[in-house]
Amino acid sequence: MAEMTHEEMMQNWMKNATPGPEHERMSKECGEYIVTMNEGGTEMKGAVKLDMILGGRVQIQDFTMDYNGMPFQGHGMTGFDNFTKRYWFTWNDNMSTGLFTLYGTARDGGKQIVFEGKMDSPGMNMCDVPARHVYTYINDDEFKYEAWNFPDTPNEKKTMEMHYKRK
Amino acid sequence: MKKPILLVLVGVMCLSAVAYAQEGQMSEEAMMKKWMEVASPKAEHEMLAKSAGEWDYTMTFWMGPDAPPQSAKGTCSDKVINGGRVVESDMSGEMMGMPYEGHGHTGYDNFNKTFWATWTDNMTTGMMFMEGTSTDGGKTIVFNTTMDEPVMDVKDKPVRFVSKWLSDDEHVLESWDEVGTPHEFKAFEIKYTRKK
Repeated sequence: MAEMTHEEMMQNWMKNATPGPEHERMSKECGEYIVTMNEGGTEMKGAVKLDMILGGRVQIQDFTMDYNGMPFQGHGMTGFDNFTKRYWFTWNDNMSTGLFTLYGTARDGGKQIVFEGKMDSPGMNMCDVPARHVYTYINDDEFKYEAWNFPDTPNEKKTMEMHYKRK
Repeated sequence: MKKPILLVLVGVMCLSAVAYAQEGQMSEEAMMKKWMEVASPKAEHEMLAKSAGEWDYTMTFWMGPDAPPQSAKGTCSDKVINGGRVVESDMSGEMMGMPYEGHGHTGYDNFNKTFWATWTDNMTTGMMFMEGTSTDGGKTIVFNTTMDEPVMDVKDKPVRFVSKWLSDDEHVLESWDEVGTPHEFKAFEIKYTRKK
C-alpha cells in the first residue's frame, strides 16, 4: 500500500463522504407516491414513501400494498457511491427472507438509471438469475420502474413494470 | 391465461417465477409451495429478533495493528420489519468529535441458508453488503467479506465481522482488517448493552 499523507486521506474521505448531485436528485424525488402495477390485465395500487436518511446520503423506500387482506411490505435503499461512481440498491420484503443488491449507472443524461445484478428465485429454485432493473424519469412527479430477467439473451423476459406518481 | 393475483405478488419478490410458470417449466402449485417455505420466518429470524429494542453501545477501535485503542459511544435502536424477517438498526452517536449515524439490516435467507447484513453511515456514500454463516443457530455469526476503503483508495479489501450474543442483554460486533495476511488485526469492537 502506497504511503499516504494525512491530508490526502482526509481529502479522499471528504470526496467519498460528501453528498453530490446524484444525492441531490434523490432528495428532490422524496415524498409520497401512488404506485400502479399492471400484470395480466389486473391493476394493483400500492403506496410508497421515499425519504432521505444519513444526512442526505441514502434514500429509503417503504412500500405497502394490500390485496384482499394480504399486506405486502417492502423496504429498499438507494445510494450513489462516490468512490465507485455507481448507484447501489437493496431490497427486501415480507414475501421473502433474502435481500438483493443491484448496482447501476445513469444513462441518457440521467433520464434513466440502469441497475444490473443477480437475484435468487426461490420459487423456481434458481440462484443468481441475471436481472436488469431500470428507472425511467418521466417528469419531477412521475417515474417508471421496469425489470427484466436474463437481459440480452434469447431468454430475456420482462418481469415487472410499475408506475410511480407523486400524491 | 389469467394468473391468480397471489402470483402477481410473488412476482414482486421473485421476479422470474411468473414467466417460468407460464411456460410450464414448473407448476404454479409447486412454485407457491416452495415460495411459502422459503418466505416464512424460522428459528434464525427469532434469534435475530431478540435484538429488538434500545441499546447503548461502546465502540473501541484501532487505526492499525500497533495503534492505541480509541473509543466512541452512542445508542442503537433495533426494530423488526417485514413481518419478523429483518432487523433494522439505527445507530446514533459520536466518533472522533463528529456526529455519527448508521443504518443497517440483518436477515437470514432461508433459500441460501446464509445470514446477510447491510451497513451504511454518514461517513461514506457507499454501502456494505455481506453474507455470513453460523454453526450455533445464529448465536455467533461470522461474515467474511470484502469492502472498499476510499480513504486509502483501496477496493475489495478482505475483512471479517463477527457478531456474538454474550447474554440476552449484551451482544458484541468485532471487525478484523488485513484478513488473510500476517498483519491481520482487530479494527473495532462494538459492545451493545440493552437499555434498562
